[in-house]
Parts: sequence; structure tokens; C-alpha cells
Amino acid sequence: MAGYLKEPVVLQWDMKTGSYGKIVQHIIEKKVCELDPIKIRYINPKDVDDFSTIDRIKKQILVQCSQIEMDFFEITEEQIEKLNIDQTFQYFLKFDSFNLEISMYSKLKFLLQKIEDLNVIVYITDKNFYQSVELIKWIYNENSNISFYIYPDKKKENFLVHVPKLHNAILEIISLCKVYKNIKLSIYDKEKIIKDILPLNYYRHGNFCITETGTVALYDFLPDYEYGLITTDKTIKEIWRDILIEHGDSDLCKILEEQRYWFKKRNGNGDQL
Amino acid sequence: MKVFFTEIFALYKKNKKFFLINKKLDTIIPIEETLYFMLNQIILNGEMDINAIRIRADTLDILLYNRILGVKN
Repeated sequence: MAGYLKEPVVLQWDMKTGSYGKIVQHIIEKKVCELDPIKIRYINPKDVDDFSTIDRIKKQILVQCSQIEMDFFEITEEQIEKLNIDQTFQYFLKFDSFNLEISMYSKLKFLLQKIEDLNVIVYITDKNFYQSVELIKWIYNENSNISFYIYPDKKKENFLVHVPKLHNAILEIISLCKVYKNIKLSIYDKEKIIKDILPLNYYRHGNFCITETGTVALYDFLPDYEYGLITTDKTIKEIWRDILIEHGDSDLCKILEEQRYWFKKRNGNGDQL
Repeated sequence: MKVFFTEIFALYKKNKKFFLINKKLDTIIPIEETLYFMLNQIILNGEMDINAIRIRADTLDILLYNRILGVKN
């Protein structure tokens, strides 16, 4: 089993502020500033307060790589208009199991004009992969410099766990690379790759995720736990150490026990790859 | 035979600690200072002759296996 770093260096923070609200967000902000991360990905920032928080963190700690991941269906045109694009940040636009209607293309066009150097994440299921291909084509025709990342959607029933359906979907997506020779497109499953690197002893885990409810996890696909991040009782380094000691090895071992699926067998039975 | 630094990983330096991080997956390999500067040299030069790389063979294997370095004939 690979070891751990003494503190997290890659941080992911879902800023959706589900149940805890903005006041508690300020506590998390202060705790994030206690760390010395190399990379931070802010997920789902929407309003002025969220972007002010990101800006304050940028002023307090030196982070070499800062990323912002926005959900296309969560962000409004008004919020897009107010976006102050920071050229030192990388921007990701997420399409999470979607049903894209024609009216949404104007919002998408507006966003593509606002952020030229954009990365697009598409979560696919057996139901939306044809639409995903069409979406990617449309975006690529608007801006051929965009990078596309395709992930399996594991949050809902997804019949791409079945190998023939999965292969069919992959072929459809790969056909994009034949039509558009220079398209930057990757298809992968993070969980599967982490599973593959776990036995390699030179890797170290230094990832830390803060969820929208203020719970914490090592990776976004592992279970999250309540460790008092949104209270003033514990420092973020203590929380990191506690989650590692109490859950690190056991949670990562569970991945090793899973069969090797591109899509985890979370919904129904799948064929083995 | 020459090697080049792929775009899959990025080199990072923080408080005298050195890392390679897979840019998409955020998987982390801490590395030593000498290796950091050697990889940085490959990035600056664009490529390097494999015989000019002064590191242990098993480290080179890890760099190639993880596609941190690619090979050009």
C-alpha cells in the first residue's frame, strides 16, 4: 500500500454550501489557509461571496495550480456575466448527466466567449452518450482549443457497466478523434486508476476533499466523514491526520477488493472488463 | 535514444520539497531534489539522450512506466 504525505498537497473544496451556509464557509476558508497546498480545485463556486473567498485564499497562500469547476446547469447567465476571469486559474465546466435543450446553447455560447481557455467535463451514462458526443462536437466547433474529459457517471443507474454497451459508447466517443484529428479528449475513471496505483510504493496520497456539507474524504469517490471541519475545535491538519489513521488504509483497501470495472458495480450487475 | 518529458505529469516545488503530480488524476510522487532538477533540465532542453541521464536504472524504469518520460528513437 502506498504511503501518505504529512499534510495534503492537493485540495478539492465543494463550495456549494449545502446545509451549513456562508458563515461556516468562512471557517473552512480560514482552515484552508492553514495548509500549504500545491493545487486547489474549487468546485461549484457561483456567487460573488464564493469568488471573494477564492480571491482571499489566493492572496493569503501561494498555490501553484488553482482550478475552478463550475456546473453548467447550476450557474446562471447573470453569474456568468459577473465572473471575473483570473488568467492564472484553470476553468472547468461540468455537464453532469444532462438533457441539453436548444435554449441552453445560448448560455453555453456566452460562457465559451467569456472563458476562452476552458476545460469541459462530461459525465456519461448509457442514456446520454449520444447527446454527449453531439455536445462535444458543438463545443469543439465553437472553440477547437478546449480539452474534454469524459468520466463515468456513478451516481445513478448506468447501464454502461455492461461491456457491450460500454464498448459501443467508447466507439462513438472515439469516432470524434477520427473526425477531429486534433481534439484534446480523454476518457477515464479516476477510481480505477487509483486502484491500479495503490500497490506502487512510490506513490503518496496527499489528496483531501471537502464536501458541500463540510465533511471530508481522501478522494471524492471515497466515503466522507464528519471530522469537525466546520467547527473551531480542530485544525485542518489534525483532521487530515485523523481521517488517515482511522479510515485511510481501510477505505483504499476496499477499492482493491472491488472487481476491475471501468464502471464500479454500484448500480446493478456489470460484466467484468 | 532520447527521452522527453510528457505532458501527463507536472513538476512542483514547495518549501524544498519536490513532487511529480499527474495533472489529470492528482496522483502524487514525491521526488528528490536532484531528480527534480534533472527532469526540469529535460523540460528546458525539450529532450535528453538516455545515456546522459544520471539516475538509477529502477528510477528510470519508474519514470518510463508511469509515462513521466517518453522515448524518441
